[in-house]
Amino acid sequence: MSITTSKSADGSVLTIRIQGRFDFSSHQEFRDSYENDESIKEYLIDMRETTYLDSSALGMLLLLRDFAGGDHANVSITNCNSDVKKILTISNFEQLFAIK
Amino acid sequence: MNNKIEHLDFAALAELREVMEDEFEILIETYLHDSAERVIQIQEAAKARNAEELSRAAHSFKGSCTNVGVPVLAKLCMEAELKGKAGDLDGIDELVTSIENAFTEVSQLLKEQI
Amino acid sequence: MSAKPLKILIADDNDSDRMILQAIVRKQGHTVVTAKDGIEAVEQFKAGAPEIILLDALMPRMDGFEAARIIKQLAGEELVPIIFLTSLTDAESLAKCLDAGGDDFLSKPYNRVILDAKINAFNRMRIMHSTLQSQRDLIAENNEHLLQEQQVAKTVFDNVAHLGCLHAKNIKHLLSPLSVFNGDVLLACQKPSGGMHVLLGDFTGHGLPAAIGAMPIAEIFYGMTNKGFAMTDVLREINQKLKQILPVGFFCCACMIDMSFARGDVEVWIGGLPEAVIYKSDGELIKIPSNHLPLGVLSASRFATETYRYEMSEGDRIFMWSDGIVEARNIDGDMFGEERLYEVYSDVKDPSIIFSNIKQQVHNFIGEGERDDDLTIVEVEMVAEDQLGIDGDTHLSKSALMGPVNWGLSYELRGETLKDFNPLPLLLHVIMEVPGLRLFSGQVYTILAELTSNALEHGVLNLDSSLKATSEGFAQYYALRAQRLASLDNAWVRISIDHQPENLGGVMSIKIEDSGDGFDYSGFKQAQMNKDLYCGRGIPLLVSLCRRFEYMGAGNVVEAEFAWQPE
Repeated sequence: MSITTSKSADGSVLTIRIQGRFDFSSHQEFRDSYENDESIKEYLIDMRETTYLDSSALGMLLLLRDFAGGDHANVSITNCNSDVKKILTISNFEQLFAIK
Repeated sequence: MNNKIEHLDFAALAELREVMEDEFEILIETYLHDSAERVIQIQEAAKARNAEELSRAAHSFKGSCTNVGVPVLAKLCMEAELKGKAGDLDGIDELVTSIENAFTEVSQLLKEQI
Repeated sequence: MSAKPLKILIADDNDSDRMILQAIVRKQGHTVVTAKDGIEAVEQFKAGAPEIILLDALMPRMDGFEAARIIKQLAGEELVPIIFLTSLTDAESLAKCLDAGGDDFLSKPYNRVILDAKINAFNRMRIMHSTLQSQRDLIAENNEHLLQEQQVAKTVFDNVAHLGCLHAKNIKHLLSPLSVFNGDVLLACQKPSGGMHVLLGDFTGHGLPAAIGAMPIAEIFYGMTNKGFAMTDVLREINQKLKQILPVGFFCCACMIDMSFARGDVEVWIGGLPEAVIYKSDGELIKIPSNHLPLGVLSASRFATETYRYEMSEGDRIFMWSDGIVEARNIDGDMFGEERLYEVYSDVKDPSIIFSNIKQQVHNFIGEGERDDDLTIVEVEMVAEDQLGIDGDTHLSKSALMGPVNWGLSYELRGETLKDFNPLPLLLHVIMEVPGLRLFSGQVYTILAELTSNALEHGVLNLDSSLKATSEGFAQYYALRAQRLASLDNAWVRISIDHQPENLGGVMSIKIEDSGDGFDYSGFKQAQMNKDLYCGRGIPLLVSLCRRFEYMGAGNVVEAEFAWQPE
């Protein structure tokens, strides 16, 4: 599992790309990818290369959302494969995240 | 007798002297006493044409000669050991005589050192 | 030079060699014990526990190889480095030294620099080995403590969670005793008004953190269900509690059902668990998908309580399971999977064996020696309420005191409180403190509910229930109700309850007065079953339950008496 980030040109949008399995072992790395920068207004979680998501990954997404402002956060999840989408659907995470 | 190999390794002896300090003399005397016995063992093994015994005794003697710094004797013992291992006892009496002679010379030299 | 003097054993049959070694080693600051052959070497080892051994390979009586084997055996778990002294040079002999238990060899002539270095190196290794061992022992001890603490936690949890009414005849369940440490929770409780709540929860995480969340959930579940609260109220409370106490990112996927045996239906709330399933006795399978976020995620204001409602006939069953079932793995690492699970449903002819078949299939799939402590699954069957096989009192916590049997109270709701507060759970709670009256909780609730509803809707709000006859009128009625309720001013309803013992049971008297204008009940005594006048007020039902029932004053006062005796 590896995490890469990139910022938009104007520095307000952070894209976090997760490659491989997104599970409990990803915890620290995922937090490190966004915690240091308070200036981000929008977050995009790119799951194009994410193969698997478990309940601790769901928890980590909630943590990010909380960091980004809770109910006022702007966090989208994009490019999910069918397995990932299924998990997000069962948990009804589209009520909290824009899933594209 | 092989003139190319030193009878005594003086560097090794110097080192031993430093390590043993006051006990250097006792060491040499112990060595000489031990060695005399080992030479007898080798002679008897050769007489009895017992290759295994010869090899073992020669190996043992070689060891202490190496430690004390007596290369010529060590080499002769090595030859005897190999012959014994190979079971080749041709010319073994000559070899034993060489060992005896070498030992006599070395003993004299060592006694001068202490 | 090494830091600390060691005790070193030197075993060599050659006197001069031994002397040299002894001198070298002593000069390095260590103490020396010596041996002339293998037997003496072993004896010296037994006597004095040297820390490092220099061992000649060829010795009389017992050679170095044999001595090394014996010494290593005697050393057991301790690392006692053995350095073979040898002038053997062939690889085979050198390998033999190591095979015999030697850790290294030193060849002649003995070089004191090399010997010193080797002794130091092996000493470091010895110390590291010793450190590792004590760390390992410490870890083992801590682990033991952890397991004991888990046992205690489990006992506490069992006392809080207890089995509720999981042993009812219409419930089949599989729940490992350690499942709480996998975050699995299964709770079941009879409702005082009849019916039961069943909740299956699956917390994120493992171990104590997962178990800790389960305790407040159990307290709330049993506490509120016993007091007659609705399922959505219980869920709302649980969600709020979990949101409060769990760290962000931790939550509980759950499915809760409210099964009503009287109505023959089930209400289902499901959030985060993949799905629940209803299997009808005619073979129809209804999958109920998750439509909510798990518990503990949303704040109270955003928490959603929409539920599904399904009719269930006797013999229909509803199943709930945690993901342990679907994700159970066999030795090859394959998952049991949804397909296999649904196959059990389609293969079976007799609904009553579905549950045991599922258990069987999963266990067969997992095979021997695999973990099965996180399989949680429950089946609840729709039955007639008297088939439950539960003694009314067993599942409710018994108070240590004798209950109150002779008392009276008056409770008045006014203004805003009249508009938004439902006093029934509270009053029911007080009434149920009468020992033995719990068995009649259904009737008591019905009487109270009907009378208070009448007082509010017909008395205070002056609504006419004949409106409810048509579906159009139904909507109108409730619209009107909401309207009039919102514009209420200075209205009140007073509930007075009195209980007195009679023989082995008692009599409960209820009097309800409201601030409305009342109605003309003059024809009541003669025409008790006159539907036109009294329809919608549930009068026939009330009359059948109560030993005395009458209107008084302007019709805005009603008195009812409920008498009961233990069976």
